[in-house]
Amino acid sequence: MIVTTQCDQVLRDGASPGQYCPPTAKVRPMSDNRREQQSSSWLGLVLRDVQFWVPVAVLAAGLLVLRWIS
Amino acid sequence: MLCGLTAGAWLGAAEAPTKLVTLGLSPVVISLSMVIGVFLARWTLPALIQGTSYVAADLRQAPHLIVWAVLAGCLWAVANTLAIFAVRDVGLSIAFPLWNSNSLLGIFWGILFFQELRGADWRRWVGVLGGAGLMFAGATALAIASAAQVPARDAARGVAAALGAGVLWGTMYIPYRKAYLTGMSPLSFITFFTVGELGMMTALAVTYSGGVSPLWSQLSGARHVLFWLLAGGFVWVVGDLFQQYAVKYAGITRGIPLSNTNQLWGLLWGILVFGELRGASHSVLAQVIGGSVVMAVGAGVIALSSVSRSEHVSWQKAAATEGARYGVDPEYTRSRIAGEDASSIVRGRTWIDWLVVSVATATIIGFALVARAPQIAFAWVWAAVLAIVTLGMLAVAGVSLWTATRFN
Repeated sequence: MIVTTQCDQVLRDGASPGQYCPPTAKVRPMSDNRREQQSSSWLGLVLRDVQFWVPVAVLAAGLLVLRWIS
Repeated sequence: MLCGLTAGAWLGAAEAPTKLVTLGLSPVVISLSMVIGVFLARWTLPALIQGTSYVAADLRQAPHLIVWAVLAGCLWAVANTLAIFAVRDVGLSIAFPLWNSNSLLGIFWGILFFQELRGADWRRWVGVLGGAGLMFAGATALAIASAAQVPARDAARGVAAALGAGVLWGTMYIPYRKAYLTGMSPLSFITFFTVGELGMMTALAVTYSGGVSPLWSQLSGARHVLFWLLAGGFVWVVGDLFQQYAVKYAGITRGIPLSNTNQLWGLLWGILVFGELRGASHSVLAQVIGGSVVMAVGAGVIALSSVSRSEHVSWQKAAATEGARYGVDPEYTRSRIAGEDASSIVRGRTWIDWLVVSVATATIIGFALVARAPQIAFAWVWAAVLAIVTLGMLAVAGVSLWTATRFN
């Protein structure tokens, strides 16, 4: 966030990015970070969803019945 | 409604190959072979109809549904295996209606989790719940009839397996409804559904066969009939696809009972094609036919309780809640629930689609080349009649669905 703000400031002053922007090779692109956050967050949302655990419980029970039947 | 009825015909036809269990094939081998056919079909049909790029774009809108789809696939695999055990123990014509009790559970989950029937008038409540009651009564009559057909121990095991399959299939509609309230196309959902299906079925088959080598030798030994099982899986997917469209556009409470008319198709295949119940007493026949008819009447009553405008408003609220919970674009949900294209979705086939279709076709042809007609009582004329009627229903429903929703 800070890097972007500094860049924006110097670019507004008419400089080229190569001259004034700090190197960003070690800074992970924001889009990647956001995607990772999103994927972990939707997984968390699924796990916190009560409706998710109903089919999981039924699946476990079904496996037990199958074990008994076979 | 048309989708639900067509689903019934195709799902009924798909269970016919499970009769191969009477040849002594292991239920898990039969189920695994069907699932391989299902896997091939679940990738081929979406690739042919919309293209994999459409599927990928759809999943980007709601990536959390991948987890739900895989879970639903696992439920299906266990349910199908239980169903095959049930066919072995109590026969197709009796097991079928028992596992179709899944619609009762589906209705329950629909009301409890997805605000179905909220805002419906008393006639619709009576229609759905009365129809569900009739279906339960019909299933009970069939369970009693099963006791007269097979040894008591087998009957108890078979009934337990069929009812277990019903509970698993009934619960599988929770992920279905989650997906379709969000607006996802059934074609996209099933591509990941089948990953869970194949994964779970492979695990079950390896476990219950005693390892990979015994499983492989069983599959090799059954190679002459594997084609029929693969074909059964393929047919099942066609029925399931229509069932999913029925759930999407008519809800669980209507879509599932309608597609459960497959019970009647199962009865027709069992009695007319495979000669089941031949030699049964009149009272047993009366119980089986009477129970099936009562169940079908129950499904019909539910089907006639169409979705009211106020119910649609409740669905939209449930969809909004679901979308907010998982951060799905409201515009995407709105347009897809209405059967329209979302602006971000692209259609078009690429070389990947043609590769998927080619590999699947080559696999099925390969199995067909080594296939032999199974040594089982089979009335070809009746099979042809039922197949023609089933294909006719596919044509009518397919054209109607394309015209109304473009398979969204």
